[in-house]
Amino acid sequence: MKLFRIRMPFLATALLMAGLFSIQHATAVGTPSGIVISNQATVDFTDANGNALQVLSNIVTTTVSQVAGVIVDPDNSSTGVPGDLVYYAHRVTNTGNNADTINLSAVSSQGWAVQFWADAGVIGVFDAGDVLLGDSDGDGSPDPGVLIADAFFDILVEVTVPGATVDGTVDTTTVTGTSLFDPLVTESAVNTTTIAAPTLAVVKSVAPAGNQPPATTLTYTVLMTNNGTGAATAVVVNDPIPANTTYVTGSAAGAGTTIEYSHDGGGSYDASDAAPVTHIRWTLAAALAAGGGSATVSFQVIIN
Amino acid sequence: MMSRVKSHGPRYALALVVLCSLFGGPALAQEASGNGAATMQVEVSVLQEIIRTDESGQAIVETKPVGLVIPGTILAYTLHATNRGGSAVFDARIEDPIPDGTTLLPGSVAADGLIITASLDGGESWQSFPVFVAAGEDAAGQTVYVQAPGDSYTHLRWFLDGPLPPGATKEVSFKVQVR
Repeated sequence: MKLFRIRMPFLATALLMAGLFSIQHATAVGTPSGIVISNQATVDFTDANGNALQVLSNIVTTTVSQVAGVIVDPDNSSTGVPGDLVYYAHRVTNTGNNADTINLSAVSSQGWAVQFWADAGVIGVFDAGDVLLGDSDGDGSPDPGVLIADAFFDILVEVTVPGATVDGTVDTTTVTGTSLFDPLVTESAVNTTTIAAPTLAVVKSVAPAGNQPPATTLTYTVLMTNNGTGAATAVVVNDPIPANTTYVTGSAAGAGTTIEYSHDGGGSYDASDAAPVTHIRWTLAAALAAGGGSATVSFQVIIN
Repeated sequence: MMSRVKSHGPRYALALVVLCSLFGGPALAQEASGNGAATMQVEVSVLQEIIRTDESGQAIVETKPVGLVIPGTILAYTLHATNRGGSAVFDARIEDPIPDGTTLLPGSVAADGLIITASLDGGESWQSFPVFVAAGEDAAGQTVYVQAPGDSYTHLRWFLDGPLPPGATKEVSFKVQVR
């Protein structure tokens, strides 16, 4: 049993290597263009007298022509937040059998702005080492310059998510590499961006409800719930004191909030709740988490 | 797909015969110019194999003369060895290197009744075709042999066991794929 366990991996490895070896030629870059494939056979024979003789055949030649090959890999997906720049890494490879320039283009299904960076810094991430991809041949399409056969170039695609994008919006930005030598040879990779935006539901309630006589104390409660798929940060609630009522000093509440007051109709706010109070503003310290994160603030007034 | 290619073998073998005359004149080599001297001629021709799909989705193999090719192209080489002399020749042996930049398709090697050997090392050593190579050991410690991959072949030889009479021809062939 022990022998079995030792030897199986060896066999498996050997077979795997044999397999890889044969695959290698199938996937590696082809015979360089311009190479002449020639063939000449020989025949050895003896005549009736036992003399060894040899003849050569004609030579047939076949010339390998240039063929373009482009690979743009891989497909990517990510979430994005409104206002974000989302970066996707791709490797552009010239799989043709001669030097070629691969022009790059990108189309966002949402019509968002897209631009290319040369991933010159740490590969796969956008960092200070990266530079905007140029257009080496001045044909209007960015490209990484001439790539020799089998050479590759790493790029980053920057997708700009507009600030007001609705939660759940999906964008597919298709990046296409096109051979300059043979523009019919193209390959594309698709980057899918799903927008994770906060969606706030605000419910304001008052107790007691219904018609009330003057001098009644009313408690207003504001419940904010984030039903979106992205966190809501820097949430600020602003509520005016209703007409014909007077704010009850010290009644404003809200766990995890900084409360400020306006005494001039919302023109300016400070920490004092001395009368007159015209507006109350709560600034939430923490983000409202995606998928139902909520916060409640409240205050009281007396009906004049 | 390969099996389909093979199944069409006879069809383009016919095409080869027809098209052979299109190719460069045979190099007629003479050992001696005297009448009745043993003389052989060997002629190589090459055709490009095109696999296309017909209306019903069936793969069809066609051949055409070769000019420029691209990587992946299948080239079919056919060799005709003919006794052009006035007397029989003996121990005829046709040898052909696998062209640089190409990979032999081992299943395509046709013998015309000849014995085939092959070299994997540039003609240094020769073994029966197809060649088997060691690929590790099995669970019982026995060496496992597998058929040598096409790209490991460097040369092919065909041996005629017996005399080749005047005027007789042997036709052998093989296919390669341009890397």
